[in-house]
Amino acid sequence: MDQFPLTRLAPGTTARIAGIRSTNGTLINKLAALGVLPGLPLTLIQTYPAYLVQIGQTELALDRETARCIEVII
Amino acid sequence: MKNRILILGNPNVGKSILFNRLTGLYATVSNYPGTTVEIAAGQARLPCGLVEVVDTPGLYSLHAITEEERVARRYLMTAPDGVILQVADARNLSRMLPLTLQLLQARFRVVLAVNMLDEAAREGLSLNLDVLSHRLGIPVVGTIATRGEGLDRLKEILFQVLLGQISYQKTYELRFSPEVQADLSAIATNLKAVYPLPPDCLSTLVLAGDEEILELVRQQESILRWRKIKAVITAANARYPCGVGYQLAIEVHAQAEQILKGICLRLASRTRHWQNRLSRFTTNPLTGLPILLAVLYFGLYRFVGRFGAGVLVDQLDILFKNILIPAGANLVATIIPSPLWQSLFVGEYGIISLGVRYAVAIILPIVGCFSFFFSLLEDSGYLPRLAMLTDRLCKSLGLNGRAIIPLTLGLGCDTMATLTTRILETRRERFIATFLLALAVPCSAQLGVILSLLSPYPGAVLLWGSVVLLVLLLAGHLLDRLLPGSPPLFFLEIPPLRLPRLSNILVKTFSRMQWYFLEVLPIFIGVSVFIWAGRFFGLFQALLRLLEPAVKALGLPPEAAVVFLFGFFRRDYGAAGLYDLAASGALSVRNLVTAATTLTLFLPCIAQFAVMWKERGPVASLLIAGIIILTAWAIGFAVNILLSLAGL
Repeated sequence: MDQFPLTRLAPGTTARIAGIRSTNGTLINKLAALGVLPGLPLTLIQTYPAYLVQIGQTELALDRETARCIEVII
Repeated sequence: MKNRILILGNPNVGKSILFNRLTGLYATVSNYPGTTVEIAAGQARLPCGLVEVVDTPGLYSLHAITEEERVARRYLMTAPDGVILQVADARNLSRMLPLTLQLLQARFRVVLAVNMLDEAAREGLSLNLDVLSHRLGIPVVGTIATRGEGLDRLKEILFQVLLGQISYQKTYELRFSPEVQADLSAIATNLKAVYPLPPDCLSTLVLAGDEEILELVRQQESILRWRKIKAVITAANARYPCGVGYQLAIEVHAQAEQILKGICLRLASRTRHWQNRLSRFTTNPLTGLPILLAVLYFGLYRFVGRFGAGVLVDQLDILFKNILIPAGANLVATIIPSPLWQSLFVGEYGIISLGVRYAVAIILPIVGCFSFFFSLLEDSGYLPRLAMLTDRLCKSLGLNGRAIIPLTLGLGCDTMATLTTRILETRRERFIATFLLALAVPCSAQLGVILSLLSPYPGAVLLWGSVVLLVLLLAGHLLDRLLPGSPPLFFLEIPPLRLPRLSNILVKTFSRMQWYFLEVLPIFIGVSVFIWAGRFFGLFQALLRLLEPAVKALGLPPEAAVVFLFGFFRRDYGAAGLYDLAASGALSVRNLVTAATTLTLFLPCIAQFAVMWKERGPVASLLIAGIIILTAWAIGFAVNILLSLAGL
């Protein structure tokens, strides 16, 4: 299976985090600190007005630009 | 400092509540990442006597990215002998443990408090903390800070660690993959200076690309060594698609998972507790937006606006006008014979009758109510949800969701809101938010007066509201286009909804009022002195003559100039002046809408300008003030022309 951006996931589905696609080092490190790490299951809860994802027991709100950087795999 | 306990940990894990439990003293706690850059210190009573305890801002990892994280780490680096009390969220140990492992790598004496065991139990989680303690080689204590559970045992353990009765000889050591390990060794051999952190910990931060640490190393090492270090980092970054910093995070996290194996047991499937259900309602746009509007309406408009800025201010103002100021006048008259100097204290614009009265009777009750409401939002965990729901709107103004805090705060008091722009991350955002607050966010004092003046004419209210909103959106959009850079990305942890504790809210409200009062009182006193001197030297009369043509061009009677000038110094004066003018029949509906619109857009008050000066510096403040005066006048001019063309 190929990996694709989180924004193409349907709300309510769970996928595994594949990685972060970004050249913004600070963003990558911050997301890593929030628990966006490869292999972890991620559930997309909603997409509007912001993306809301759950990773483990953590819920994260992301704007579209940030959500697009997170790649997942089903 | 050997006898010091440093409280450390991720945001939203209950650090500050634990701090209060240990010290009985209060620090500003918050759910909203970014509002506590100040550090709180207090003393804990342990069996060995009083020990200093310091509460630090949220820290996700030793690799510090935000300003708060750097502040927390600076504290850590200056206290190598102290005891580190790491507070962790029991539900989220795999995300908390990497920080523990980093702290152990840096050879700190760490005590781990696994907090919120009640929330973990509710989720059906069972934790074997004894095994965790054994694997990490450090004391681990389970706590429920909100109820004070586990506190006695925690104090006992902190006491033993301080006395050196607990050994830290065999703690867990971080291990990395061979490639990363090679990079770390290569960096370590080039670190020759003396640093506040051990070499292996330092090399990890250097390899991860921590900006502050890199700068430190660049200053300390020779150019040759610095180049070698840079070469190692560049090569390592090229090896991993997301950079070596991400790789390090992955490897540390994997070790944390390894340690936690068999420790966290999920006994039952997650029960749908009311908190989870309510949480969905607050984030789902269909239910979340009405909830948001209700929260803002009842919290801001009814409680802060009507109750605080209305009822409380009126009562306190009566107290001042009828009792305190006459009493002050008598007292001053007996001490100072000269009427001129008397007027400095109790004249119309005196230090007591304007400065102190303003700070105590008008601003303090509003700030008090607002702080109460705001603390409730913070402690309940609603604030990040508010930011999430409004992120899109804020983006169109060149800001992101976090900016909703100062913007809504502005509807209470623009002065306080301008101070709160500190929570925004970039200078660009802080500038935009300050500008919009000064231009198009009317404070509760302005709102009250304008709404009561215009309310007989619903069309006028609608027109005034639309023009101000349009200016807000347009100004935000223009600033976003004109200023270099782009709105910052938005991502925020959404903590669970929690039932706030009243005692916590009250102490927090009080400490905020105290802080605000100390910050604002000198400004108000300075303003009184300035006005007093200005009147003495005839400055105002000259300014009025300058203003009159501008006011006439808006189609307003020349007396309106007084309203604008003194409205800047005293909002109630400006309001009262407008009332008087309207009552005397000098103003038509067209005049009222023009005056209300111009006054709203005009610089709100001198206190806000003073805070703006302090926060943004003279250049930015004068620039903002200049643009705002011109914009306010131009919009007022246009409104007047359009209305007269419409035959009003």
